[in-house]
Parts: sequence; C-alpha cells; structure tokens
Amino acid sequence: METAEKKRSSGAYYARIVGTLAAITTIVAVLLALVNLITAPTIARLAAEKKARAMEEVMPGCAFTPETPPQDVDGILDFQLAKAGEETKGYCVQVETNGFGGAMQLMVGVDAEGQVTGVTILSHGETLNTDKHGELLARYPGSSGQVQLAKDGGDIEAISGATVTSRAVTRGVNSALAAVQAYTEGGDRA
Amino acid sequence: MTENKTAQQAVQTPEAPETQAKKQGRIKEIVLNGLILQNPILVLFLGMCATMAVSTSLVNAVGMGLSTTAVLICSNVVISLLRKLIPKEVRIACYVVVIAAFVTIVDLLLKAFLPSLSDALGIFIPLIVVNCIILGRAEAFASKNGPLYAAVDGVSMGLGFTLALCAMGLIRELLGGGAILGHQVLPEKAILLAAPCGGFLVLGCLVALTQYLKARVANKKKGGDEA
Repeated sequence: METAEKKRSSGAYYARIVGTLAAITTIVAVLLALVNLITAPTIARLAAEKKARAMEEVMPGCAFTPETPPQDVDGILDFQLAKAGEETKGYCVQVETNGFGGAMQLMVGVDAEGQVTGVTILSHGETLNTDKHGELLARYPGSSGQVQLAKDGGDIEAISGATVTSRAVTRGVNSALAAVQAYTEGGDRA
Repeated sequence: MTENKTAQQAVQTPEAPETQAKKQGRIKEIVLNGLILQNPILVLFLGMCATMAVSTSLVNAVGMGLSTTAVLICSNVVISLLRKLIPKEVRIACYVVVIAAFVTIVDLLLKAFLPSLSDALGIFIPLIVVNCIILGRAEAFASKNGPLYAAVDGVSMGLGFTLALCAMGLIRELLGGGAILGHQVLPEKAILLAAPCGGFLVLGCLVALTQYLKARVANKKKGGDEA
C-alpha cells in the first residue's frame, strides 16, 4: 500500500499514464489518416454516383444544370434544374435535415407545378430498417405546398416507431418545396 | 509471451512453461468456448442490440458477423501485445481508442469497397464500437493472455457470434419474410418474427437449444469419467 501511495504521487507515474494514452491516440490518429487517404476518393466517387442515380430516380430522363440555391431556405445543399430538351420539367433539391441519428441527406424531386415527384435518401444515421425507409419515402410523391405528418395535422402517415425519422424527412421535403417556391417566385434569374 | 498466470478462465493455468500438447489443448478449449460453451450471444448474452437489429436477414447477419470478427481479432491481438505497457488505471480508455480505430477502419473500407453492404448495415457498423463483445473480450481475455491465444479467441468468439447471428437471421428471414437470401420460398410469413419481439423469441429458442446440447454433452462426459 505504501509503495502504491508513493508511486501514485510521483511525477513518473502520471507521465507514464499520460504518455501511454498520448502515444496510443497519436498512433491511431496517424493510422486513421492513412486509411482515410486511401478510401476518401473512392467514397467521394461513390457518393457522386449515388447522387446522380438519385436525381435520375426522382426526375427520370432529364438533363441537370446546377443553380444557385435560394438564400432564405435553410439546409439546401444543392439545387439543380431538370430539363427535358428546352422545357423545364422540375427541380432536384439536395437537402440536409436532422434525423434520429444525426444529419440526414435527402434528394427531393419537385416538378414544375410544385409537386413532389420522389424522395430518396443519400446518407443517414438512422436505426430504421432500410425497407422501412422505402415505405416512408413512397408516401411523399404527389404532395405539394407544405407537407405534414398525420399526427401533426397533415396527411402523411408516419412509420410507427420511427416518428423522429418521419418528421425529419417531412422537414427535408418542406425545405425542398420552399426552395423551389422561392426559386420560381424569384422570377427569371439569368 | 505465452505465459498466462492471470488467466481467469475456467482453465487450469500451468505454472511450468507449456508443452506443445498443453498449448494445443488450450487452443482447442478457446475455440470450443467461443463457438459454443461461452458463445457471446447464446451464453454470454453480449451485443444484444446489434443482434436484434441485424438478424432480420441472412446477408446482414453474415456481414455484421464478419465485420465484428475482423474488429475483434485486430483489437484482441493489439490489446494483448500492449497488455504490459498499458497502465491498469487507463486500460479501458486505451481499449476503447484501439477498438474505435479498428471500427472506423472497417467502416471506411466497407464504405469504399462494399457500399451495398455498408448501406444495408448503416449505423450498425459504427456501433460495433459499443458492442460489448469486443470490450468484454479485451478486458476478460486479451489483457490477460498472449497474442496467439488472443487471436484464436478473437476468431472463435467472432465466428461464434457470426454463427449465432446467421442462425437467427436464417430463421427470421425464412419464417418472418418467407425467403432465403432474398429468394421467396414460403407463401406465408409470420411478420411477428421479423419484428424485434420475434428476435427475442427466436433467441430464446436458440438459447434453450444450446443449453440442452451443453447439458447433454456434460452428462455424457460425467458418465464417461466415472465409468
């Protein structure tokens, strides 16, 4: 006991503890930086491919041109004009919303009349089963203006046991709809 | 490196340097422990959250099981190598850093090279960090045994986890979804089994089966010894 007490009060004892922890965390940080260096380009490429697939899914057969997103709507990451030939078919809006497990990115397609054509998830940290996501997302196409969950007075049924996720997607869709509205009301910006 | 004076397993730890035969016997014991006798899911009840969440289909079960196994082997070996360097006051912090590092590596690699599996497992890959099987084995085994035994323990515990997950995944996918590996084989489905409560029911049945088999083996052994 005595020696343990002495040991505990000595500087070498603390130096050893701090040193070990510092050494381990430093090695781990270097290792992770290396792995990140190797995987980052591939992950970025896959994310870009996923985004392209998502835009094709919500706005099939269109050519996309990026536009500056309206400033007054929060959470808009990307705003793309979807054109078939010369005619503007609609818009693809990439939005970020806050789900049950942190940030969630959605791709929302809105047609020229302001109706949702489709919603897909680009990235998420939800604990909800992947099939259930599809079930939820299929409830949005066709709605316009402002969407709301049935339990909040709207007409979209939430997935039971996943109210937070359902609300998050609803918020994301609303941001996208608001962005499109702001864009179209902003008139013909050249 | 192979001394294990502090091993608190049910194993008799030899005082003298181990002979080849003893070493083999010990390895066999570790393997049996991981696969059946101390199976992390069916006997130790570790990592239940991930078990319930990803055992809804066989593919997810295999993916989750093997990812966990990879992390478990790496963390067991590293922790075993570092066991004499790490002061015991900060050992848990050190283990968590090492485990989190390997989980992040697995997560990044899956995202880059197996994106479909990464999408299917989603948040449950990063959550391997808090899977108590990994920290549990680090504390109960790797910190008290040499790297060879720790690696064997990682493999057998990991495979025990994978096998139990697969058994649950197979049963739940077949009876709850009427499919095997996504191919529809049964016309009827018992949706209850795909729901979380079904997971507990399947788990209960598997645990009972394991106990039955264990008891039978033990009885046989006892009888054999007495005879």
